[in-house]
Amino acid sequence: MDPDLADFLTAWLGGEIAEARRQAVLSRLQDDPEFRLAAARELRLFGMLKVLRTASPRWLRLEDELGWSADEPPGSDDFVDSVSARVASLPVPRSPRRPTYWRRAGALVALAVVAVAALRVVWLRAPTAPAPLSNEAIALLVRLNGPGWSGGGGPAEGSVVHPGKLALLGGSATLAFFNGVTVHLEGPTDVDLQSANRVFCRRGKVRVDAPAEVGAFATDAPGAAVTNAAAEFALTVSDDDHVEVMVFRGQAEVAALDQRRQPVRSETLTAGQAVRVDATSGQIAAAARTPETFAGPIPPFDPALVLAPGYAEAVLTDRPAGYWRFETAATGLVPNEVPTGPPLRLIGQADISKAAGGMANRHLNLPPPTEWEQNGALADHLWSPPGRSFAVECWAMPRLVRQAAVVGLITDTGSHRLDNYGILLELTGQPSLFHQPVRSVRALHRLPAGRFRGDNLFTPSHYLPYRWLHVVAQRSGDRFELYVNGELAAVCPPASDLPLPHFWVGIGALCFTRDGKSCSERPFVGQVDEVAVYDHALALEAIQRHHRLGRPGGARE
Amino acid sequence: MKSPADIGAVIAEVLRGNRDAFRQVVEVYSLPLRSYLASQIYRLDDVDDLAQEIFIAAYRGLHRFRVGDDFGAWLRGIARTSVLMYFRSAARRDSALERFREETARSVETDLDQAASGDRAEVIEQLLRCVAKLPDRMRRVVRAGLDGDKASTLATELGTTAAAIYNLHYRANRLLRECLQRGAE
Repeated sequence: MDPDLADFLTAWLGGEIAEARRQAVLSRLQDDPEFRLAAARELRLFGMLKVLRTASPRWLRLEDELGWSADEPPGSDDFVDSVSARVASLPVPRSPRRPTYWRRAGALVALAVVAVAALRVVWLRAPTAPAPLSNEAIALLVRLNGPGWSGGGGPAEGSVVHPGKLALLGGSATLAFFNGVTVHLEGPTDVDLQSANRVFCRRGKVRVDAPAEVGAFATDAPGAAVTNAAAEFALTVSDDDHVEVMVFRGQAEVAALDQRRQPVRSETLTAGQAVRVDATSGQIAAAARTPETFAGPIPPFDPALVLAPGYAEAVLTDRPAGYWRFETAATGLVPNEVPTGPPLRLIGQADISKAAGGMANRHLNLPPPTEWEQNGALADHLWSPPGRSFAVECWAMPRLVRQAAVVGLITDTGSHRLDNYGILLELTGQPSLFHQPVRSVRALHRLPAGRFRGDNLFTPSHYLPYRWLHVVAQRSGDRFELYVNGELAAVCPPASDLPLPHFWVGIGALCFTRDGKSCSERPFVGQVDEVAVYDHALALEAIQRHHRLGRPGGARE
Repeated sequence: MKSPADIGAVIAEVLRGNRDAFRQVVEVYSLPLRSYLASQIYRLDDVDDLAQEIFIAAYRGLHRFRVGDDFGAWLRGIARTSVLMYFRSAARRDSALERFREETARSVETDLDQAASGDRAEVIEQLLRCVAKLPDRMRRVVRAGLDGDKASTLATELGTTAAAIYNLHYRANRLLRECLQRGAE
């Protein structure tokens, strides 16, 4: 094998390669047509293999553009109209208002003006931070210790955070970005939160944990920038504008920037390496790995779901047909509290873990999937409810904002792939990809079970990561209802009164296979607990009782 | 499934106002387009987001397509612009790895377009059967994928080096290309 081609593939796939070799390979790519053709052939094959490993995506925005609803095949406009007419007669909550074209255009113009103004400031007084790009909420302040923010303002613990400046006087603050990145500050620290994937630190100590699935996350400082994916690192800006960086996990690229914030020099650091960037000279030099120079480890902040002692008894009193508590998982099987019911089989890296703080209650933990391993849990062949009423109940705590399947009842059609839903509880994501309501809980009722159509309910309020939600979706006679945290959030008349056939219970992914695997579509990242299915609807009092018993001392609302 | 040869009639149908017919266009070109993008962009999430944007752009600009021309080539033309825009994102330009991929995409643009011109969904799907014929060790490398960390992890598991894993993948690619070629004959 041509060593240049080997190095080219290594570099393209993200492997370690010296910068000089990288440049040499690029030069050959530009100058040698045969080498270029060989590289193109390799990339083409790699592209083919990559897309074959995953199922075709659901392109909801495209469907929306073409006038197809998210879950309906072409030619179903009559169906849409008929359901819409019936739904209109019920108190269905309104979807969050979409910005009109002109409002969007106006916002763009305003942003452009702000950006131009900011660029002017950058030019005159570089280096400084670029202007924020958007004012969408981007994070949740999950922990705030110490004196808090300068001027007494700033977000309170548990509140959402928008792009903008934050000046921490002392103590520490931990921000959980909606995309899964965690940013931990130790005061005194001044930062500009630029966007969901960019932070600018003016001075002080910042520690960043960016999981692989987020993609590039940039942490900027005067005269320096750190870009990373799948890494944890700390960055400290001293009062004299020296920047020190240390990587604790994965690898990150540190760049020294010139006055126009263009990179003039860069180094790739791996775990355990530390450097000092001199903003004046643009030099990057090895630095001592002194722990006190950097922000300390990011404290765990998964909130516990504390259940009152009578919780399980209350659920069992309401006669579930299946009930999984996730307290044990011997040989990967979560027992069913209903003696005749099937256990749940854990898939991939799904496990049972204690919440932080030593709480007694355990949960189903669903970590981020990797490209090669998906997570979830699956129970096969429950019974078919004798009547037309049934309910699905669970607690869920997402760790990030994305479209994610939480719990579904899947009909067995005999095919290898299990994705024909009768009922699906899921979370919607951010607005950039889908025209569904943003950060909403969705309940789908789809009978006959399948991959298209169905009755959709969305909560009018937004969910937040790192907060437990108590969710019940149920068919109660001629109503399909969604309850969140003990309140009726949405209701509609189901389009069909067919009974629910025999089904599988799937947790944490949109589809599964008969041999006990889950697919990469809509993975849920976070924790799930106390999943129960009933062959009857629950009374409002029962739903509220379950919710109340789950709240004391644990679930942060 | 419609073949590219039939797609002219489908596009004419879309242009007459049958927007549902565009679903057939997506069906025929989804796999080749995603594959073409994945040859230049590493993250599959980004590939799929971009593919969606390209189909939307194609739908909006369909009146500019001359029926009778190669629709796949037209789509790749939109894709080339989208890929360049993708790499222009500020966060990506800060990363040496992404800059390397951007340079690569620019350099191989013509060759890749030529190589991809014959790609059809059936050809790509045939690759699955070819993968199944590979020796176990190679199949594992191909299936396990090849990002930097994973290569080193796999190397530890197989008791070899990351360089050997890359080499194994290169040899596997050669066998796969031969298999595809045989299938095409």
